[in-house]
Amino acid sequence: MTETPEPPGRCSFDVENVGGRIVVRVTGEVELTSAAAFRLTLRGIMGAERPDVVIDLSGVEFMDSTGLGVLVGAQRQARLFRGGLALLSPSPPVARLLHLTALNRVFTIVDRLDDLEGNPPAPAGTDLT
Amino acid sequence: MSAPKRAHGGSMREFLAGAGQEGRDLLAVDWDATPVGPPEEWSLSLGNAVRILLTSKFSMWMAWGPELTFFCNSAYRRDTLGTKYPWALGRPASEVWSEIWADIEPRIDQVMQAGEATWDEALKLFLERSGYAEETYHTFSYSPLPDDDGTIAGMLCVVAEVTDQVIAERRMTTLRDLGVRTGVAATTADAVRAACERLATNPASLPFVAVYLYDADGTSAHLTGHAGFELPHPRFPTVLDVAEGGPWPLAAGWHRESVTVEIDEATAATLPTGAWELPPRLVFVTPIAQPTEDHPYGVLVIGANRHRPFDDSYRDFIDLIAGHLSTGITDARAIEDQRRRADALAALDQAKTDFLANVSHELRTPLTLLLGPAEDALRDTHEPLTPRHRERLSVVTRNGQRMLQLVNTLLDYSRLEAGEDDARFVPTDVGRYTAELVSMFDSVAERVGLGLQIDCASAEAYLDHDHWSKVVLNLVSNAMKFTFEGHVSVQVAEREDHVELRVSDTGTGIPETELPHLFDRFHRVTGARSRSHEGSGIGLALVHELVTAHGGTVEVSSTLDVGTTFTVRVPRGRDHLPPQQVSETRPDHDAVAQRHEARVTTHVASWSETHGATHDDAAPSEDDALGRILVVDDNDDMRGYVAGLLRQEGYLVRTAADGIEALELLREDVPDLVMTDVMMPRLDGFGLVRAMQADPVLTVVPVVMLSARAGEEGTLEALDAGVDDYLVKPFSARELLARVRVNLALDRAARVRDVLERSRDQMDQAQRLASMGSWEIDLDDDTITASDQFMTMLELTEADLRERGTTRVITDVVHPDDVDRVLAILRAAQPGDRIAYETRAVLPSGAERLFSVRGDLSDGGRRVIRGSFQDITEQRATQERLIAAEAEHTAALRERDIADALQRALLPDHTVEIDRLEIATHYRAGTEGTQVGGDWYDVIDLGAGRAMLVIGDVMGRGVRAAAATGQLRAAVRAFASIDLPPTELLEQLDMLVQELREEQIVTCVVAVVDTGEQTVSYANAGHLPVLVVGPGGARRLTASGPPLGAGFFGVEPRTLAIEPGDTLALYTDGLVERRAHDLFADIDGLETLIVDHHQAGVDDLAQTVVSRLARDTVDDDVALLLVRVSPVPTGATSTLRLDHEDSAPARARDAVAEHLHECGAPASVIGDAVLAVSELVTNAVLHARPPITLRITCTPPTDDAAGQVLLEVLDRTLLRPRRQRPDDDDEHGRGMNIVEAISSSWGIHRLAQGKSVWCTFTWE
Repeated sequence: MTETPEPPGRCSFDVENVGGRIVVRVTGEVELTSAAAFRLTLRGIMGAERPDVVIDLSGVEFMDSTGLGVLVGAQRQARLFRGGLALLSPSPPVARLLHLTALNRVFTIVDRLDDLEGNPPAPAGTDLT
Repeated sequence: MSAPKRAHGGSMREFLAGAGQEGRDLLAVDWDATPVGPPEEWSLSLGNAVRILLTSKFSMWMAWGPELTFFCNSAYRRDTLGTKYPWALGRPASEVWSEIWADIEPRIDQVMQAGEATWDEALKLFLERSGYAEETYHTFSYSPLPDDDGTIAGMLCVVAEVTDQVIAERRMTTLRDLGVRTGVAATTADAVRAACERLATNPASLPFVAVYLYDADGTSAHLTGHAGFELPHPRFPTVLDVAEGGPWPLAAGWHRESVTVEIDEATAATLPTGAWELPPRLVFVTPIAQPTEDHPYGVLVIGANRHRPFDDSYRDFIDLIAGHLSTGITDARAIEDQRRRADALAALDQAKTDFLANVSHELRTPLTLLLGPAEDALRDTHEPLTPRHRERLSVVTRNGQRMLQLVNTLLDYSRLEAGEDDARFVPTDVGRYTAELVSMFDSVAERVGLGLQIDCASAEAYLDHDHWSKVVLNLVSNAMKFTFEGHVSVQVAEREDHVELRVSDTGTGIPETELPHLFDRFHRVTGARSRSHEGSGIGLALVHELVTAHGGTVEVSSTLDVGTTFTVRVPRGRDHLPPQQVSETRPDHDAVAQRHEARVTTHVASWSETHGATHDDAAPSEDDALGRILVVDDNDDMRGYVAGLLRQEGYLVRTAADGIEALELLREDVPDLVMTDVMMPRLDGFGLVRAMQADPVLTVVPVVMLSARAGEEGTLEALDAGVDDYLVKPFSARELLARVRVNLALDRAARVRDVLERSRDQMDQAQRLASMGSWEIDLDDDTITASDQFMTMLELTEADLRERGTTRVITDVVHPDDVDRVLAILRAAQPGDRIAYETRAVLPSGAERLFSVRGDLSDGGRRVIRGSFQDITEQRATQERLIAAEAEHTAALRERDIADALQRALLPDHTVEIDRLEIATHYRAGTEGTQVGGDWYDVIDLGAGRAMLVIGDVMGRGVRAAAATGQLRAAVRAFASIDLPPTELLEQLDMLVQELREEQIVTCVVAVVDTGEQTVSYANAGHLPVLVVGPGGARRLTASGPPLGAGFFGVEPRTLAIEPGDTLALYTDGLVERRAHDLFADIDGLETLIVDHHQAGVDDLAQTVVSRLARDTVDDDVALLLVRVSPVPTGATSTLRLDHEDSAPARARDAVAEHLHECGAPASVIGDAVLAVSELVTNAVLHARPPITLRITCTPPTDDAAGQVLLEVLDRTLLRPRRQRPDDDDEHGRGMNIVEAISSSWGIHRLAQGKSVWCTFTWE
């Protein structure tokens, strides 16, 4: 339920909170035109305390290395902020791209949301040693 | 009102007149116009105040009266008033300082109303004294001036300007902060950003800062750091093209010059203002120096504070900032470099470890399959093995176990290195456990004749039993391996905080230089004498790793030929161990011991069994034997095996364990053949062969070498050393026996031939008896008698012989240099000896002849030699001539062979096929008998419809010229592969030609045909002009530079347009040169011929040209290269102009998808092409300059050829996109990797003004 700017190009995404996890659904083409907006959106989400983010890529028709770059950047941010990032159900073109670049071993990739272990992270303010 | 006291009116005037310039100027004021009135009427208080003012050297001003009329002194005028003097004198203060009146009026009010003085320290005031709003700082105090009656009538201001101090302090703070911070950045970008953060804290002196760093060749620069504004900012693009200019002049910076840019007001409005309201009017662009390089890292762009003058100190300040940045970047670069190197090293190490693990793993399966069945067979009681088979399988099992041991050790080691160790540390009595392990060596020690001393006290520590057993195993077996007499002792002792294990031996010792490397992976001490020469060298490295895993240390000390001691120390307790690997359960000792016993016995058995040379056993008798063979090998099993094989065949075999032993046996008895291994202690195979060659008796014995070194290299090395034959392990029994047979037979044949030759010689001699002289010498009474023939040959008479006697005849007749030798031979002759020698003789007539002398000394009685005498002068001369002729013939043959080989290498494949080009060639060498010449031509495919055509002429012919052309041809191909343009290629070639010997002159043409751009671009070094013939006629490309070898340089490359159907002709002078004709006429001839026949196919055309022009016999080479540009099939290419913006990739993708769909390409190819074009165009948008052009060419498959798609993205930058190595964290840099992975081929072409990045896809 976060405000997302409408991205230019043939791409759209919406953001939803599912049981403490933030699911970003991307559809269309993720490349130069739409990458900037996509990156900004993810940054905004990642800024939260210990974010747990899932990016649903089932509806992506096309992605190139620019789009990949956004995902890699998000992964790094997630690590910085001690959060989690997972890719959900990548479409065939995306799966292929991840395989070609060997990034399929770097990301957490699941077919269903339930496949993710663990509970959503504790809300800010709880001290877990 | 009482009459006010007057301040001595006249003296006031006098005072003023004498009070310097200010006094005089004050006098000049029209006082009547002011409420203060003329000086004569000034009150005492006023007069005194003015006196104090004017005589003080401190900067002061005062105001008096209702209008606050202004007075000031010289110091004030100098420091502060500036251009307002002298106008300000006598004016109301509010007018004088109108620009700051708002600031100071409240203060003045305070003084005038309340009579309280004010104090302001370093107050910022914008003064207009220099013609602009100047930022100044003043420390001042206003105090009340009472009039004579005590009312406050005026105010005094004492002021010190502190502008310089304030500004200086501000700058120093910035510099100091820079100095503190920039030292710790790890990357260049971080260093710059950190510096800019510091600079951002001083927006007053630095309204804005931008740092642009150049790329490697200075064509563009990137905004790496900034302060004072947010990105994106229209005046600060992230990428600037240096040559083009843009908002900031970076070109001067590249050459280490600074530039001061003046900004007009309109442009300035777009600039950041920093701490001020108004933007800078001056921008300073200064280079950031790169030490030891010609060009700086980049430039620092600083907006100058418009409220301060841009003087030298301001410039110095900025230069210091640039200096700090320079240092920071240099440091960051050094760290980046180091980190990259460390990463590379780590990756390498990891690769080695992975490799070790993989290989070891792969080996275990076949080993298991080898050992299992073999052991089963040995244990089979139902169908037991016959003794011979049993023995064979024992050898198999033994060696298999040896290999398994090595593989296991390798695997252990690599597992440890990879950190996959799953150690389990348990409390152990180290002494007891070690004693148990070592006791398993008892039987072995006995067998090899060594003492084994065990002295293990009780000692507690946490050990991993597996690891510890390996440590003990390796150390003890090593000790035994290297000790030949004496003992090995093992001690365990408990110390205060650690447990100590010592393994000492009285063995061969280790040289001091080897000690530091002993624990290195794969290190083996060279030349060490040991019981077993095998081992991968990993044992000690494993020991080191295992001990380290226990948190302990291992040391070694050694003295050559005395002994070695290894000391292992393991800390007690468990605090130093990872808690998850420690357990408190003591294992059952016996179970553990049993498990390890098997391993120990296997390991030891592998090298200790059957030690000792086996000599002859059950052999055939000497007479029956096929031959006598000596087998030399340090491996017992190998020796036994080979000897057994040979004995079975019927040879008499003796064996030796190394080269020294072999030589001893050889001296006792010379065998018919020696079969030897290469790697042996004391004296290896090559050493043995060398020793044999030095001995005249042994040198004729054939030697067959057995080795594990396969490949040509090994074989050549052996044959070079003089070995007769070479067998590579593993070999089959059949092969071994065959080789032995052949080599023996060869040797026999040689000996037989020797014998036959000797008898033939004797026969020849007999035949020539008639033309031989005979003689008889009596050594005792020095008489000589001879046949008539003899006397005729030597031109002597019987009387001469009788009178002179033997010695005198010899000294008279024999050549002075040979006399001594002949006399010595005669004197040394013993009864029954046969003598034979050759000697020169000088006849009385003066002629010199060569004679062969043979003789026999009679047995017993008188010492008389009878012999024969033959003139062999002509014979010898003829022989020598024959030999010389033969040598020459052989040399000529060899040269011809070389020439032939060169020739084959020189001419390119006839079947070279280039897209859209039809090619025909003709070559004929000019020299009769050889096929080589100095001309060459070549056609090189550069990809994507581009080809390089080359033709050249090396003056001369034969092998030398051919060798030169070979080099040049290879060089051209190499340069073509890096896309060097024609002129530069020829310049490089010129340097090569200058290095060739004999002042070679070479002419050459290089032309690049681009069927996409429809151009040909060429450069010509002194060669005949290329002809371009089209339907419209012929063009001669005459532009030419000097030939190569004379210093070809700087000739303009030419490019011209060509059309489909055009024919290019490259040729050498052999085609057009005629003895009697003039050169130019014959190029005309060629031209006419091609024009007339240009409709014909290229092959026919080539035939026609050659048959007409090269008709006469010419002894020069003829080369012709015809290339025709095929018409482009219509509709196969679309070209699209893309705007330089973010939507370009999407447009490109749509265009590619549409074009390929129409062409009928399969969906997978379309998908790949779309992805690839998205990457290429995105790259172009982000990094290249417009215009960007996309060309799509699709050729559907035919019967002969696959379908192909060619995508080309053209832009106007020379920057080549590189495949990068992004790591998992990099957001960028994967584009070209993806293109490489999915396309069939890809590449980059330089164009006249930019580049084209292309890729292709194929499908059946």
